[in-house]
Amino acid sequence: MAKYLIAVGGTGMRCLESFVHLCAIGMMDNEEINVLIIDTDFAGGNKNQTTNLIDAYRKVKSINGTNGTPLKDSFFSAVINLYKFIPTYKSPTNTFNRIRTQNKSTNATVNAQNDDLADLFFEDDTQDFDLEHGYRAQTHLGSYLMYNDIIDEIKNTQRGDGIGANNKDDLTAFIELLGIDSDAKVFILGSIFGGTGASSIPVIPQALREASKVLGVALTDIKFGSTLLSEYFTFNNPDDGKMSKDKIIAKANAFRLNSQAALMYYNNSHTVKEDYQYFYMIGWPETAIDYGEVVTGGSGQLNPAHVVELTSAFAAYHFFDSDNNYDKKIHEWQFRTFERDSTGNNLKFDFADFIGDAKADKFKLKLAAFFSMNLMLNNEFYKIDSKKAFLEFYNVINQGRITGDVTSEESEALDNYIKYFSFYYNHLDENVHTGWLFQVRKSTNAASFLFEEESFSENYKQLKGIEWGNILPKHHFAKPNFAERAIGRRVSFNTFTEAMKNNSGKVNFVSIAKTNEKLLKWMYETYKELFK
Amino acid sequence: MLLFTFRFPWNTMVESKLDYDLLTDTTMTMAIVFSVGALILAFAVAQMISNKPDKSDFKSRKTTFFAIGIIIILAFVAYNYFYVSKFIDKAMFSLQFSSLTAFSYLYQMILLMIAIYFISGFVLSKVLKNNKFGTIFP
Repeated sequence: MAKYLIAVGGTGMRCLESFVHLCAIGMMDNEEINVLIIDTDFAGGNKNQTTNLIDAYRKVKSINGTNGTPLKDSFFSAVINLYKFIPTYKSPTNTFNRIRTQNKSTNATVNAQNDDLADLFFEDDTQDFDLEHGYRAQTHLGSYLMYNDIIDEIKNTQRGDGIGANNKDDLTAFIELLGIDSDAKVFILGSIFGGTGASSIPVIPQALREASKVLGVALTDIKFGSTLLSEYFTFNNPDDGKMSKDKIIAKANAFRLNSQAALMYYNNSHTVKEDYQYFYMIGWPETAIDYGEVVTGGSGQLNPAHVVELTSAFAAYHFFDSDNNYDKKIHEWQFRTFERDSTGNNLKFDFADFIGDAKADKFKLKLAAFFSMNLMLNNEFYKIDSKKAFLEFYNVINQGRITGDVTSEESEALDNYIKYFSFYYNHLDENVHTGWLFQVRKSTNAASFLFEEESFSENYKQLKGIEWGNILPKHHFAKPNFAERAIGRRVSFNTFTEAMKNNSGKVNFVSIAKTNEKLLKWMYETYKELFK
Repeated sequence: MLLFTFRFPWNTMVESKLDYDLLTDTTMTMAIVFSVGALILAFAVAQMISNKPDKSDFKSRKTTFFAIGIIIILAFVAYNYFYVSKFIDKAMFSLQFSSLTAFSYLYQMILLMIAIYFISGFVLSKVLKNNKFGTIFP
């Protein structure tokens, strides 16, 4: 049974990024994830980063034109299929008024009544602002537009002129897949305080059901779950000049109120409670992270990662991983939280806090292994072009143990992925450019975060010199002897490669077709032994 | 020919045929012991050289392997040329331990040492593919 994940809006994209990283470290063994991204901001920076990330992921796994094969106990174990639905609001239909004008009736009385109805629900500025960068927290408008855009897209595709999907069959294909699957699970990632996510979460289940009727596809026994992610970031309020130019801008000082109103709505709405079986209310109790100048959207909207996005990704994981038993009559409330440290000032993070005690060791092993691999490839192969690091490692370690070749494209795909996941060096300037995991760590403001603090150093020399076999507290596997310690020699590479050689006969490559995936599997199994 | 026999005391003149035979047996034993010892040393040194991402460790191990082999053979030749041959009066017998012509005993011992050290080392490297020693002849 495939899993279905819908990421909506900028925050939805950030949460999806975290989920893709969970797939990369191997949390979703043997799974095929169908991902639909919905965003109204065609040039959105967050959306583009996430789609580029998924593209890099698929390049690691793809074989013979497909997205690969699901694997178990390895990195990149899940298959990710990407679908896109990007309703575009370009001139001349880039405002609500202009969209309405296109669909005016020939009956003047009907038109007058519709005008009055629109004026009742939407202020003049709301009807006239440019929708190109999204709904800008106008969720009353956004819900209406999104619901109709989904259904219109299916109708237009059937007529041969759908325009919202990059591949105009994407939304259709996604819904048709849902129709084939019995007991499908659909999880929606998005915020409740912004624009696109907050607008779409309430209406997506209904919109998909209506769209499926247009297609003649029956959607039965589908479980829906969603994040209800409240505000966790802020930005400067727009100045008067920007307000007079754009008229409608999402204001950060309204986010909390938006979140409260949304939560009250979800608590009281009978329709939403009928549509959804699981809600994950996620909040950030600390000071909201400040992103500085307001950007209404477009490529400039590219926020650094935050730990609540990882928490949201784990909400999706929990939804997919839990059993299907659901009692319609009983609403069960469960809580999970992060403890505070001994000073009481900062939160304290442990692997179990994200995933629960039962699976904490699994998450610990996989994240540590993948992060250590990132450090190994960056630190040990810094003398060569980073795109070839994985290929060079294969040439060093293989010595005929695995048949086949790792191509430079596959090596480059993994290198690109690592840049997104953790960090990369600029050796000329001696800088560290941080990726997702480093940004998540920084967002916590905690004294430590899951790994030894030196693993997150942003000092070029310090990070390049760390013992990457010793990043997991209480699981150090790189142990220099007296002489090695005396001369300051790092031993992680020697220890790891010797362990790989000793392990080579025990790894089962039977179900793995691609050479690069065989090597990743071999590395994963070795880490599993070393981090015991 | 008796292996693993030692002429004792060794620092006395060779005076009889029996004495001479004992000397040749001792020399062969020492050749075998030196070669095997050198192979063990080469194996130990190979383990001590850390794996490197640029495969420079392969070159280091190969270099030390050949260096140890060459040094041990040269040491053996020097030992026989400068020391052992001193205790043999008759020139034709002394030449057996100080000459490197094809008929000399020393030459045969060198061939034996090459076989034990280099050829066995090569075979061992191929057998122990997963070991650091296996990188000497990948």
